[in-house]
Amino acid sequence: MSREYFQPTTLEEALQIRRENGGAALLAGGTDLVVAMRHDRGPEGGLIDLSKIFGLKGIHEKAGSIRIGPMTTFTEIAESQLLREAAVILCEAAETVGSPQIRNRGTIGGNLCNASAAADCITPLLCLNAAVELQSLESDGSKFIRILPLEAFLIDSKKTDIRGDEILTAISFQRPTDEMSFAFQKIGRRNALAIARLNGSCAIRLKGNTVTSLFFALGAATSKPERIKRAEEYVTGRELTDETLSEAGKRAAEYVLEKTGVRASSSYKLPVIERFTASLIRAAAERRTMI
Amino acid sequence: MEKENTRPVDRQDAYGKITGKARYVDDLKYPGMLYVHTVRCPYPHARILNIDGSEALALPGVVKVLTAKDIIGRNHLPNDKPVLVAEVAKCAGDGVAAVVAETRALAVKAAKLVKVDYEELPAVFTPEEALAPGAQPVHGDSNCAITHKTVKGDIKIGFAKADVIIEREYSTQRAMHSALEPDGALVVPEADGITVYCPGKGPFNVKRAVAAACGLSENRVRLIQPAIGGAFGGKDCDINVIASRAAMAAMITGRPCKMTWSREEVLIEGSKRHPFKLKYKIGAKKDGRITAIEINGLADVGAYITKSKATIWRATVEATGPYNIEHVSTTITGAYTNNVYSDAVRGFGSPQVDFASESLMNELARELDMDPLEIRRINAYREGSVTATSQKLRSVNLIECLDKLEEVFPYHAKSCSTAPENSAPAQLENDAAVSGKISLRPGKVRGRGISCIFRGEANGAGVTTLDAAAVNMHIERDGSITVLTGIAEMGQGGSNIVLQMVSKVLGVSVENMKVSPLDTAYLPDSGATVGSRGTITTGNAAVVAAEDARKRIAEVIAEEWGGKPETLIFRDNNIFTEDGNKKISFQDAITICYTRIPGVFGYGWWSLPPVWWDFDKNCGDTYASFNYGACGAEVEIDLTSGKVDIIDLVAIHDVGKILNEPEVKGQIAGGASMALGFAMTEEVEIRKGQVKTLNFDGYLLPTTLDFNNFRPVPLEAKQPGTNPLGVKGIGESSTATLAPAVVNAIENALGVRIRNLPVDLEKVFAAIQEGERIGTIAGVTSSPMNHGARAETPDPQQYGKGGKA
Repeated sequence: MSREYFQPTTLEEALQIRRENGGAALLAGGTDLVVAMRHDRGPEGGLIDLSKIFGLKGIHEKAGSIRIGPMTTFTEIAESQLLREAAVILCEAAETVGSPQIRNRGTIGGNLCNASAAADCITPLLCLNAAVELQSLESDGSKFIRILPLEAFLIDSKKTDIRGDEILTAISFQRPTDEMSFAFQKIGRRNALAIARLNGSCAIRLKGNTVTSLFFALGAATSKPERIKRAEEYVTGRELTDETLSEAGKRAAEYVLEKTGVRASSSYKLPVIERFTASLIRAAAERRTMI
Repeated sequence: MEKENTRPVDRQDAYGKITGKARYVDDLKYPGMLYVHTVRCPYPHARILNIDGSEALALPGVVKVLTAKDIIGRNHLPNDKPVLVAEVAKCAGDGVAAVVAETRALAVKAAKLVKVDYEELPAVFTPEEALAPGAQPVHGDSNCAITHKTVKGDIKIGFAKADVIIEREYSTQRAMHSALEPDGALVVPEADGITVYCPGKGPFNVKRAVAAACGLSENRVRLIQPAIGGAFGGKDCDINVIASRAAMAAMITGRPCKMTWSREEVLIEGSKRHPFKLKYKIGAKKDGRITAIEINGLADVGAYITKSKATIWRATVEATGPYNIEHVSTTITGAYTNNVYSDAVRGFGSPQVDFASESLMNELARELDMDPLEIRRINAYREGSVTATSQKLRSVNLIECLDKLEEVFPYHAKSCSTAPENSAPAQLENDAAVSGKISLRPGKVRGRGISCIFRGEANGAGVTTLDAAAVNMHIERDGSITVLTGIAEMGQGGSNIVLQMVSKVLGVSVENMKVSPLDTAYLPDSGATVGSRGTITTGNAAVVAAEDARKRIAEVIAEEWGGKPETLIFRDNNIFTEDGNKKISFQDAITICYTRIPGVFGYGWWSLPPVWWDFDKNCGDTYASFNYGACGAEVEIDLTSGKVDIIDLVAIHDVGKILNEPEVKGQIAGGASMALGFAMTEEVEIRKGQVKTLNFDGYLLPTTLDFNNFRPVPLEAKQPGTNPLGVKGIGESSTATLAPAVVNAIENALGVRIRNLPVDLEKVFAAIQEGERIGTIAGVTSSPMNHGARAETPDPQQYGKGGKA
């Protein structure tokens, strides 16, 4: 079987190709796409390789807004000094992806657009309240830019709101204030090369021992990485006690059960989600006390 | 001389493997070469009604569609795996046809176009189902493939003497070899036969299998072994079948033909480790002495017999563990099922029974409120002990292994002072209390466990041919040496041991020698590199061969100098007289030899003493000798997820004599890491005969980040091995001790026993919940302030008493 392969060097060229070849898939690091192709589950049409577009790489900060190019690799994210200072959970999540080889190839944009329920870098971005920037070309050749909250971009397992003519051009979020503290955790069957059995992130702000703000997201629990608002709402405004955490865990597990129904994995996952929720929120709060 | 054994010697195979110059079978290409791909039966049991290859053949570039009808010679031995199924496929994945095409992609595509009509037949998927009355037979009229027994004394008398009797059931899973290099073969048709290029541990076995399948005499099949990318007990029957399919394609098309399996094909059609179910009943006195043991086991042979008889025989012989027991009854049956077939995997039946017997010892210790190490000492084999098969043991080093374990592994220590980081769990509690309101640290608990084993050396009486090997060497005119050996270098370092032995006898540096490529056209058949027999058989043969060469050279030089040949000293690439007054370089000596004698060479055979087994009386001298081992494991368990991490791991192995310390440590580490996967993460899932685990994303090998803090300890105990070199083989023993030690450590931490491998997240988490329920660990959710309470002192005498089953 043959297919068309494009390797544009500018975003404009890439957008043009994308517009003219509606079925052509975007090739970022290839760590999901190429594997899917080998299993005949890949895209049918052409491929647009984004690796030569220099502008899609890199991490920058401007006026408190951090902007990550979608072609930035997990290794680059894990090693970024800027992110280590501003959003270390994203670095920690990137470090848990696959193996060194996969981290050297795989990209954050690919991770988002592939939209696996177990994607390691999505829950930290949800807790950072990140947005995605999507670009396309209008018929008159002018650029059309859409900016969406990441939450809205993720529709379901392996399904995002990206249109056939669009390219993800940036992931951005505001540098969190020092009042927020964060944690990322992952449960895998191995210490490397592990697809998350569960992963999750938490961002917490405390006043005294009272929670004034909480972002809490789980991956590999439901069909997409998502914020568990039932737990967030319960904890916000409450004293952070063992009872609060325990109840938050129960509510998270209840929510997951409602979303997924009883599955073969439920007997493990549901009680673990209870504990994991408590453990994550606790870990995020602990980070604050460590500062 | 002993010091030299600790000096690393450059591995001759290492350079090629590291630089990419080593050529594996899939690297080999011939002009005009065709590719062969297998068409597989999707049903676990089905009669082939018709095979129609016309659509496949219509594709340009497809040369042939082969079926069993095209097989020239013998398709298979009774009940064994066929080259291609002729009438009835016995398991899903059975090869029914082979497509030969100009490219691999085309062969794969065309294989999907071969139309096969099947009549599905009833199938059996578990040994219990298979052996039930009225079950559909896989072969002949019974699914009982083999039953082996050992009987000693009278268990009725033994159990009557017992103060305590416990009964437990254990199971082990279907696992696989996971060689990095998938199986494959390339066959080139020649004027007078064929040349086969393929990896494998038994080149002569493959040669014979291919010769039989192709109707050729054995001397018309030449097998040349390329570099091997690991075997781990595999590349055995699978390679026979692959090479035979490629050979028939080559003979029929008259062109070189290659078949290499993808990882998925290895998982679907390739052999696996036998899953075992084992029921143990053990009786003991209050003081810990075992009075009787009764063992009943069931193994899943799968669809074909291959080496199941020998595997199950070894398991039967070793099932009691290394303990003096007067009254023993062991029965293990292998049953045919319509699952993918089981065959040799590194360990060959030992890891399964060792997991059970060593878990059982801890359960017995718990019941008697004894120290698990102490109960092992009380019952351990010693010099002159008599096994369950009435064999009197020599060279027994078990107590030394246990002593060493106690010395290097802090089994009885109260704190985890040996843990690499300063994260002694006892301190977790304090840290956790910092915030005052909540416990910040997620709960973790630690536990320690031990195990010990004995394991038969080399082939044993389960294999009928004499266990022998040869080494042959040509000493070139420049004094360099070409060494010919039948040992397969699979990564274990076997060929280097041969060179080291030659070096020791002739005083020639290893750098001046080269191992000749393995080629059955000119090598003496030294059997397969299996059963941990490589160093024992070929190492000793190398000494015989080198002594043969030395005698020949010494006679020439002694005549030159006057004096006795046997008094000459061969050292540092020179030959000396005893008094050191005369000296000649080895190279000059060889120059003289070539003027005086016809050929300068060495040739030597060595064989293990014969062993025997009486199948009626169920007794015999099962193995020429045994080796012993002990293992200690400390684990840390995350109470949130059930994740288990290795904190400390020690594997002690009685190796007789250490010939090369870095190599033997590497071999122990390799076996132990394989065993860690067997213990915790590896499983080939199969449902209704269909293999569901299709690649390494689902078949989880431990990574370097999982196999942590490992300390291999090769032990030179008082008693050397019962062979001239005094060595023992540990290639497989190293796979047998870790799983029970880890599971015993988990039990020590949680107070709950897991009896089914692998101990994955789900099983460990269920054990955590059970431990919280029965009160052997404090709950995370019920009482977070107190979680991790068990972690302070993993004391085997104190822990888990609440968890009696």
